Amino acid sequence: MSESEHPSHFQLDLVSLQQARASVVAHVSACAQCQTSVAAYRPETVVPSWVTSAPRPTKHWGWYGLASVLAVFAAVIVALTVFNPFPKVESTRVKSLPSFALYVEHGPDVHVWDGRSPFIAGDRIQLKVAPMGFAHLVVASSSASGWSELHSSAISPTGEYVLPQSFVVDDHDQSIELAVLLCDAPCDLKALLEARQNSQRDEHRWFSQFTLIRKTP
Amino acid sequence: MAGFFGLQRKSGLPMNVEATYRRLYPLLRHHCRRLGGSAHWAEDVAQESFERLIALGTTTLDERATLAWLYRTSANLSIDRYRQSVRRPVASEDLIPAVSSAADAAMALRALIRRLTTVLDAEALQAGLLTRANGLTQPELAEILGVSERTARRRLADFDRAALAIQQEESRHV
Repeated sequence: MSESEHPSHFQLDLVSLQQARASVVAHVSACAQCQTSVAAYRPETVVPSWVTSAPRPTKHWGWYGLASVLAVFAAVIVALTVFNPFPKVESTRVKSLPSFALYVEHGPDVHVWDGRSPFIAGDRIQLKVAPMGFAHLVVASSSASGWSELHSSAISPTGEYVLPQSFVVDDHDQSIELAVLLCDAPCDLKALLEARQNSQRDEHRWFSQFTLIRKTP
Repeated sequence: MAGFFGLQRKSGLPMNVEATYRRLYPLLRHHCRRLGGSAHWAEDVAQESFERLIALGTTTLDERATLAWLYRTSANLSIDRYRQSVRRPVASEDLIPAVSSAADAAMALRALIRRLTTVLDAEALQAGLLTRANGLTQPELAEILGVSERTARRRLADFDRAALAIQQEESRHV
């Protein structure tokens, strides 16, 4: 900046405020005309009432705040949509858990098994199922010779299903394992044994097993 | 989103209005005089500009940015007044005879702006008024307007082109 190229009034004002760059300050120190301009600066000594009484803005959310809240809310919705931390359940078919009931016919008495009471050889057992959406049923029992299928059929997914046949407790084994598998697709004994390995219970298969103890008369 | 006309609304202690007035208002008043108005006119524009600064509630302590904002705001208010004065008779206050070369320049600038208000947009008028009144460089104009140098240069070119056209038209009449 040469002496003939004076700084703008903006720059001279910044010199008055001691906010100017060094090059501008250097010019002013060597330029009588600019020095006169800067020297004329006098801060106000009296603050008028229109300044002291002017209404100050009150803090409030306003539109910017509201817009910020809405923007954050929208961002959360988008993030949950894109990065869904809650895995989607592919089927909502099972609205409640399946249940099973064993009806025991002991002589003239028929009652629902309590899950603990032993059986006596000759007792007749009948299975009732509430499939709660599952459409196929496999029933098997274990004996000394291994697992054998007792029943396999398609069933109504709703309501209750009573097996058409009953089973008689014999006197060969001290205990009997009774396994039940509900499936969403046709299944068999092999599927039952697979599900038994990890006690599978999900929207595709629902496995249960009961241990029937035979009491010696 | 950026704050009102480039000054940021930030949480924190509010600006010390009285201290800012004491330091910046004398500079603002002189700036408004350079924008072409009479003393009374300049005082009105300066006061309205500063009232807007108070209403903004800024918390900035950057005097350079605050002064730039006041420069810009007062230029906008001046242009509004020039536009209004074109539509109504000129107030006697504005017709005070010039008594110095600086006053001559201010009066000439005022006459030019009044004519250009009918052919230029506010942005070009603002750029031209600020530059002519204060002898700004283009980087300084860009800083005060809060725009890029390219935009400032374009607005100023629009102003200069229109001003030149008016001067050529006047020379033909003479």
